[in-house]
Amino acid sequence: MKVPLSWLKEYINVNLSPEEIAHQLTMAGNEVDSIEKIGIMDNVYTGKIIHIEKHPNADRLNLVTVSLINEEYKVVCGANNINMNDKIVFAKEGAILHDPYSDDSKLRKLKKSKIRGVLSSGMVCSAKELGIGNDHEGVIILPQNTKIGLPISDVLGDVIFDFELTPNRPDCLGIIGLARDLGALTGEKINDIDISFNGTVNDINSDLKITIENPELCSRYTASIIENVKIQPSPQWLQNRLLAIGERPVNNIVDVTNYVMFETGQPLHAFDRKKIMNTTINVRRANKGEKLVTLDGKKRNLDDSMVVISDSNRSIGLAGIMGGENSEVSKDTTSIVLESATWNATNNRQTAKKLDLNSQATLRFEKGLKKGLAEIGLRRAIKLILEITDGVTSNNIIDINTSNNTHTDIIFFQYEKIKKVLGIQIEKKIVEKTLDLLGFKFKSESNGWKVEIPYWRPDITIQEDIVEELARVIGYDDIPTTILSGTPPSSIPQKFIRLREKISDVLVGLGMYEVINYPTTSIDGEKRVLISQKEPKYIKLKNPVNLESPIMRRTLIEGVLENIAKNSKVWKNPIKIFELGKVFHDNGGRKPEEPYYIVGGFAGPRNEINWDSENKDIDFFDVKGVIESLFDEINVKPKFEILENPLFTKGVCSSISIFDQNIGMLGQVNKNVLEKFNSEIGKIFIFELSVEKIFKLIEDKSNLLEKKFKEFNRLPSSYRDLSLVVNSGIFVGDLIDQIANNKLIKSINIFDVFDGKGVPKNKKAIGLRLTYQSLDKTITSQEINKSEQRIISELKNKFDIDIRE
Amino acid sequence: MSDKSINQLTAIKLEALSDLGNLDSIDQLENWRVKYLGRKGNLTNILRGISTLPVDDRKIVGTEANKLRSSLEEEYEEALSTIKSGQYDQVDSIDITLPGRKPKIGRLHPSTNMIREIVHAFNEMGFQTVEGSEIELEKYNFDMLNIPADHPARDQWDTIWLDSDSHDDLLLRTHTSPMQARVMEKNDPPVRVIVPGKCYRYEATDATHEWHFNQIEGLAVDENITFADLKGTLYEFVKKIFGPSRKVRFRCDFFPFVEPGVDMSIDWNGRWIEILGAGMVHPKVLDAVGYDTEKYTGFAFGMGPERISMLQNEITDIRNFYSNDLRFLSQF
Repeated sequence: MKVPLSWLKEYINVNLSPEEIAHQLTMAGNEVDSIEKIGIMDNVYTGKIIHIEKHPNADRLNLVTVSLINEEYKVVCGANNINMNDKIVFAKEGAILHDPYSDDSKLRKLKKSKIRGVLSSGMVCSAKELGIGNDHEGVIILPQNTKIGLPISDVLGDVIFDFELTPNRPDCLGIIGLARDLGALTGEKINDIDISFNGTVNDINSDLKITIENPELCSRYTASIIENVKIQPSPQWLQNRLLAIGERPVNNIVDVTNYVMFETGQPLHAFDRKKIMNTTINVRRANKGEKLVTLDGKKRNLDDSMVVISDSNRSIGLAGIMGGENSEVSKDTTSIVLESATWNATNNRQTAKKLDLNSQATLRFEKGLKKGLAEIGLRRAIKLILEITDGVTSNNIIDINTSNNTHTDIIFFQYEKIKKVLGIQIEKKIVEKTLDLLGFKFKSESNGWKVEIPYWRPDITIQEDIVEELARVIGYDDIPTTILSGTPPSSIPQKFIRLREKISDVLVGLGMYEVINYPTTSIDGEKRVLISQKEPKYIKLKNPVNLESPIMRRTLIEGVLENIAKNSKVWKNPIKIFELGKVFHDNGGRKPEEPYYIVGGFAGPRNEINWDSENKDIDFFDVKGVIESLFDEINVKPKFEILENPLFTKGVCSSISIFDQNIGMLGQVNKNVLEKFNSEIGKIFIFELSVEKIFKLIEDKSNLLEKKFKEFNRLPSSYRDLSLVVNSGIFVGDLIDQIANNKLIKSINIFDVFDGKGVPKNKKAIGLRLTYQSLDKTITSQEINKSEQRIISELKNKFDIDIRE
Repeated sequence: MSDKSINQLTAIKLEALSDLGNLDSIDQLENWRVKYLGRKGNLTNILRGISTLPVDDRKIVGTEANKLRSSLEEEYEEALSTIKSGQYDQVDSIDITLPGRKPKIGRLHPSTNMIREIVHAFNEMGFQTVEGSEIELEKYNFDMLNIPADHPARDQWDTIWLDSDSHDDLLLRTHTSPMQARVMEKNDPPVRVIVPGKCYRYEATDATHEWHFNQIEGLAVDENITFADLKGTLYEFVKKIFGPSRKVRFRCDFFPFVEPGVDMSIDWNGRWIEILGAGMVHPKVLDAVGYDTEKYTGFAFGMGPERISMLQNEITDIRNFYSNDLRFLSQF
């Protein structure tokens, strides 16, 4: 909300700099977004018209002589609202003014110039030329008592604060509310709002019949008829105030209702009395299918959840949101009904949302105004209207209270509460002074106060609210800092989080980069990688941010493949990435399940190009090696078995299991799948693991993450190399498993696998290094020989191997 | 006979020591060793011939010859280490400016790094990490946090809703605060938790806004917890993350689930940057989980790790975080 300093100063005596005011209010919860200084211009002064004559060469122009006390200037002027002795704004040569004819109000430096053959040395300025408004119909006429020859900033200069306010403080959507906060901070009591007016003794209001059909939606309705009003533009001071806060002046009546709203926070509405049939006002729910054209010219379709103000046969306004066009104040209006009511916040907000109509009134009503404010707003508006028009009204206003609730709420505020919440005690004297400055009435009791909550503070409902009032006025900085005392709750080890962190750390150590993708995607997008699955129950979003991604992901694979495709265009080094995150499955529970998965993706060269490194592309065994290293770290040996999955190239993929339970898969992504991703690399490998499954399995098998020392065999070992030839179809893994059955075998390394030259067709040669060790004594070469012979004969029997010499 | 042998030994000794003085390579030393100490060396010959000497001489010559042998062996060892210590020029030199064979290490995502750092700081202060689901019920995300339906306070959280046949109260959590209600519902005081996790808002993405981001929530509830404790805890956090001399500002702010409400800013090159919202847990929130509001008080806070990472790592556009571009990720 925009607030001019000059307006603020009407209610509070303050001599601080604008920056200091902004700082203090910001610290107390009313954040100032920006401070703008307006009306500060060089070479622009107040002046007086001392002579007017017709321009010799142009009928519509005048030659005007302006006095600045010691100087006189003769200028050409096109405005037709000037008279002798008017006080005006005069710009001398060199002033920087807004060009009223350019679209974006460009700044131009004023120069001496000839207009229709007559030299003009300066300019009488309009609001638009000064950049303080949009009016360019006539020039600004200053009040008669303005001194002349003053720099313009002395008269029109102002500071505009732009506040970003919190939703709990509707009182600060009125300038008085902010003035009151500032007063509490600086120790100044604010000036009372002037709501006194001289009405007639005649009861003009007796004509007006008001009924409230739905008291639960309207807790108070105040109104008054004002007769004999003359609709015209508001006086300049009022227009300037509205312009300064970015509001467009309309006419004197509408401007006053707006002015009072920005001043007090109470929205008001003025109806043209003659357009209210039978001078009858009825507050009721709209009829189903009822239509109303609102003041913005839009036809609104209403329903019976909405509240309207109607006359004897039609609705004339949307309660607390916007008036109807059919009862609008216009230039012919001579009598008005001024309304100031208290509407139900929830209903008001729902209606505004349904109609997509965000008005300044709703901004306030939706925050639950207290009904005490309604009367203040009405009386203030009557006072101003009577002042600027010749209007006449009764001394009495119409005031309908639909509930018996009093206007005041009382909270018993315990002195102890302050210490309990803030951790410090505040002197009673200071508490009372602060409450007083904030406008709270109170009565001292033995261990606290009975505090009366003022009509402008709907946000204060419990003792803690009052504690905050004290804290923010004293200043949060003045509250001491302490360290949490007491015993912290006993801590349970977070094993699942630890496992996830461990997995990420190992993968990073193995050269992988972590990615994090959005968890949303499209059905078609996901189908690219979830090929074999039957149509699942998708988790759809009602209002996705990205319309192309309306469902929650069921796999991380799609995202990782997209990441590789995107990076393949710009990243020529090895691409090794992983995502550890949630996927979402609707399994019919109250909420979908959110299991964690981890997907790794690999593409490109194995190593960055280096003078001594081999320069091969990443293949299956790079990925498998990463999985093996990962499980080394978790202390489990994974098993890899043949897998059929259309996601992968046939034969170049494998399932992964631990403790005989499947936990994931790895392989080369099928070409047909890759085609649907825009990748510049044609060979991509991925793995997928279920973090939940891994966690559950290793939890069951005691905690493998907590490594326990096992005594190792300290006896000497020795190795023998073995070269075999087998059919190409034999899996080395099966040979290894067979050999490992021998109890003297300590470890088996594969040092070579090759075919081609020197190896018969459809055969492959395998080089194994077998390390032997006995459990209880130093192993002898006889034992090794015996063992080796047994291994060879077993392999011959089972796998039909030949030994190469 | 023994005299002759003794003379021979003396001659060998003199010659050996003199030869040794002229050696300057391992090869030469090896030749020397073979000549004097080798199996066919002079000294060995004498030792072998001892058995042919008269019995009386055997002992004398044997003792002297062995003495000489061990003395020459000592000389040899000494010469060997002397030569070795000055022997850098023995291998081919290398170009040490060539890059090493560098095992490449990857990187955690900057969000993960920041989350870990912040969570760790609070773990050290006795806050236990807990996590919650990203799909939440309206009840926990709003109602139990004193954000009733159709209340303008809800405008602070633009919400993404699930389109479900069976339930219309499912949403993507807009903050990690639902875990306040869930943790307290399950546990009696004292409570001291830190909750990291992803959150979502229905809003357009630009350089400073993301609809998908992380948040870290903290909550402490016990007897005698005060606003001063909240300030102390957050000061301690700032010290751990931003260093002990960082200036901190607390100002009044509004969040429906706390009262009083706090906004914490830190000084960043002379500007105050908001990094955290906090406050004393609202009695209505404590009441909603069945805590005795006369007995217990608490504080809660929430912050965005990406925002903090943006400050610390000088990232000006938040959209970088989820671009997953290796040119970005490889920098952290």
